[in-house]
Amino acid sequence: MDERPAADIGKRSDPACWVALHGEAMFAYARLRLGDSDAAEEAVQEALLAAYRSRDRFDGRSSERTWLIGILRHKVLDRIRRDRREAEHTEEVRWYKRGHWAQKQQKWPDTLEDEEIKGTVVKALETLPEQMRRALVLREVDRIPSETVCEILGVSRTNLWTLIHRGKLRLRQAVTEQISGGAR
Amino acid sequence: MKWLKTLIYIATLRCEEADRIRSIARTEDLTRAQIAAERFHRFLCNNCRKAKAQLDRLDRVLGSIRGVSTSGWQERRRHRVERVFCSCCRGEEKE
Repeated sequence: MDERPAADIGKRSDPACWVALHGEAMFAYARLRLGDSDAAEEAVQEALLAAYRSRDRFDGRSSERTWLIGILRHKVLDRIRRDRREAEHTEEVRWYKRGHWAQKQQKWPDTLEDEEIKGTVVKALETLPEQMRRALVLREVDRIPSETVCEILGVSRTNLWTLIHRGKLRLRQAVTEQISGGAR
Repeated sequence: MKWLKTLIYIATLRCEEADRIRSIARTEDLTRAQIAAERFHRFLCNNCRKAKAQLDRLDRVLGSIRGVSTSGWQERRRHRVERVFCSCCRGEEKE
């Protein structure tokens, strides 16, 4: 997330410039995790204010953006805890027939760049049910330990596995469909 | 007889369970029986070999995502955040 030069490490800019300097990166971070622009904006707002209040505690060991994103991360997790909802398990996806693949699996071409896959995955992430998206992002993108993710989302470990497994199936299908569509 | 149960589990694993094991491999510590069963199944199943390759790439991509496109970060939103933040800061300084 931090793309600012190493020379910026340890320097703290005027808080009045924070939104201009880091607002967009902070918004992008929160938007992915919360899946909603308004909620992301509020989280950024809360994080900026929290950072302003604790600005004297910025010790300069990291860059200012890393420090701000660290604060934002806590705000995002708090918000997810607050919004906690029952997992959306109602939609049963039929991937398998009697335990075996219902359809032949496709080999993704080696010529397909990771960046292309990433674009599709990010779009597909936004269409996943909220709980599933959060489980995937917290565990697979942010690498937060399973116990913590279970506690934040209020799901059992088995539920977390199911959410992650189904989420990955959907993401893989989205990429496969994109490849098939592109090949047509 | 535990070894016999394990052997049956390894020999009769289906694609659905094998795929579930692969999906959670990065999340959980798998048992030796699960690892062996998934590998054995993959050795025999062409679809699961392809599915494993898809999953490996997906995991790599997921690990490299940092944020989403910032098309939602319009001028209007930026000004709103800036205005509210600055007024809060001023309020705190007065206190």
